[in-house]
Amino acid sequence: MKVNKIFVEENLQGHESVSRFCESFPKAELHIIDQYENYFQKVKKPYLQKHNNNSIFLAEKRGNLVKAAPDAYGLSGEPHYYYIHAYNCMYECQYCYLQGYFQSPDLVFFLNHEDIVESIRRTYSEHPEGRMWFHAGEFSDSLALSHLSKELPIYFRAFQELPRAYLELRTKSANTKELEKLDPLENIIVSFSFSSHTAAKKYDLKTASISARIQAMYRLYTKGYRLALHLDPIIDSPNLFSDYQQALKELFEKIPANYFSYISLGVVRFTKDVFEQTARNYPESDMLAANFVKSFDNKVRYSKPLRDKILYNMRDMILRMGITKEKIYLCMED
Amino acid sequence: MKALIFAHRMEAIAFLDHLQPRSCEKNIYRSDDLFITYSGEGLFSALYHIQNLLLQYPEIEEVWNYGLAASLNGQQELHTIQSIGNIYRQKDQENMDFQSFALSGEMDLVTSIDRVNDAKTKTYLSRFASLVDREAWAYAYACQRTHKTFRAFKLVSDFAEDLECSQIRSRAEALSLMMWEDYLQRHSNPSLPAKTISLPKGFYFTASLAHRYRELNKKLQKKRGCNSEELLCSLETKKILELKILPKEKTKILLEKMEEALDPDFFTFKKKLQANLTPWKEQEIYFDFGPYLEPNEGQLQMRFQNDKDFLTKLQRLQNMKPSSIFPDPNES
Ligand code: SF4
Repeated sequence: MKVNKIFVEENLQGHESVSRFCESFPKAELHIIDQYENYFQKVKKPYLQKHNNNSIFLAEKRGNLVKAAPDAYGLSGEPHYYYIHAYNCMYECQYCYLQGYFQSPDLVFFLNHEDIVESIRRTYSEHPEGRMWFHAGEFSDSLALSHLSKELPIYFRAFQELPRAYLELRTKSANTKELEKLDPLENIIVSFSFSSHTAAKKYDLKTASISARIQAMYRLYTKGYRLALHLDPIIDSPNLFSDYQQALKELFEKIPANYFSYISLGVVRFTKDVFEQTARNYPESDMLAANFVKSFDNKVRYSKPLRDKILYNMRDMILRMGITKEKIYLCMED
Repeated sequence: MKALIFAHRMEAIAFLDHLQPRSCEKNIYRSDDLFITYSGEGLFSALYHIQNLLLQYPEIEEVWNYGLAASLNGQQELHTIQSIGNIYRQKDQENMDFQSFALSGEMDLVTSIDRVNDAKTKTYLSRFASLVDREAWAYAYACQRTHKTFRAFKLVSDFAEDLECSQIRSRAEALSLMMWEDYLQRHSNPSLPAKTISLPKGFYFTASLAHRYRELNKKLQKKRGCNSEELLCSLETKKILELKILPKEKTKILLEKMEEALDPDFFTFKKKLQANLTPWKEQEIYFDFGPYLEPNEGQLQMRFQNDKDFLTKLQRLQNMKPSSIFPDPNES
């Protein structure tokens, strides 16, 4: 990743993460600023600027630090929340919803993790009974730059004291270095977005390859981490099922299928804005060579019959591979 | 037709000397395939001038701006020519205009409200871009509004804040020559315009049908990894053309075939759904699930002859669930 500028809020100048980021991107210009909000998204920057012209903001998150997740976010029937530790991502998945969400691809890393943890604790105490979920990575990849942001120990310490709360770290990276330094916890689950070798190569630009993700999962498995899989978003292709079967077979040869705590399935979908943005950013992508329609919740999706066919067959395939029914959920589907 | 726009006459001087275009009106020159013009300094002169130019000469399809810019971060080599990527605009001392323009180049540029001659403004602007000029945003704005292609190339003439106009004036001819040489190189190597998909003969296309056809054609080419000709061959267009029907009807068949090729599951499903609906239709009960067959929205229409008929049909409907009419996805 090419970083041209690093912006640091003035009250964070002495923060240890600042020097780590500066050392990792020695060519980047350093700017000391008052508040990131005065610069981030102040001008519209094209999404594809991330190819060669990135800025990083090291800032403090103000306002809401923990938010309720949309319906159908995870295993149903339990409250789901996400916390915001970063905006934007160093990867470039062609379907990424961030391309229509922010007006700039610049990366923002929030360094006030203790405040975020405090907010998580407060939310926890508002639900005195039952399990609840917290997700990292709603606006970013949870692990991709964790060796620079180094926030994981703070969350591990916090979740050790919140036994009813589950933390999901979702990633497409193979950057497990920081996790390997920590002891796994029963209530922290590392989930990997997973697809076929071909699909990841074509659509998950700059992310870890499927083989690297399998290796990363294996490392965590041997350490005793709980793992989950997201087969989401699934993009239709001529050899869709055999390609997925091949990749899953490679994975389940290393880690027993039923070791995974849950598997989500979701077919590619976009808001109207993201769909338009995707078509502008990747006009040649064969991901767009399909019959997209406005679906039940106004999102742009494949036609209902194609969605059903994909989900049904995918579900059937993973059931046959040894995953139990209760562990499968359909993401954002009616 | 292309137009080259500069802020100052001295920036354009090498172009005027080499091309010897004829003057058509104040500050506008024209050769066989090119306009050369200069707008004057600053955002408003630039905007006023380019809007007039584009209004008077609608044959202009593409505008290139050549000009000088100052470096805000001191990281560019002096006298290099940078192809501009994003263009931002300073609104006032501490605010930026949200609207920006993305061009095909790499280097970001901000158009300032004034010449930058203090450190505070320089620092502020450097947070958004590496180069500063006084006009490019206005050119980009006018071009976007009139759907013209716009590109900008800036010669890094100095460092902002150190700006010495008299020095630049004395170097003006040499700087213009550098831009002219850069232009010659880029001009001889233009990027090819995107090819539009041509419409097949023997069919009738309105503008919207042509748009639909091109969309489907593009998607199917990508999906099947073939070219347009191979695609039309695989769709058996010859057979459609032989049908003794109006060209408009042939187009309808062609587009339907293309839609089916793109999403065969949808069509199989539609056929099965229609079959499931037949018994209801026979009883004059009609379901409509919209064009995309999303099960959560539907309309019901019923014809009845009298009270008794009405009640019988209602009773039939009482125990049915609309979703039960939907074919099982496992079957497809
Ligand atoms: S990893 Fe996630 S956040 Fe990052 S680009 Fe891909 S989809 Fe977007």
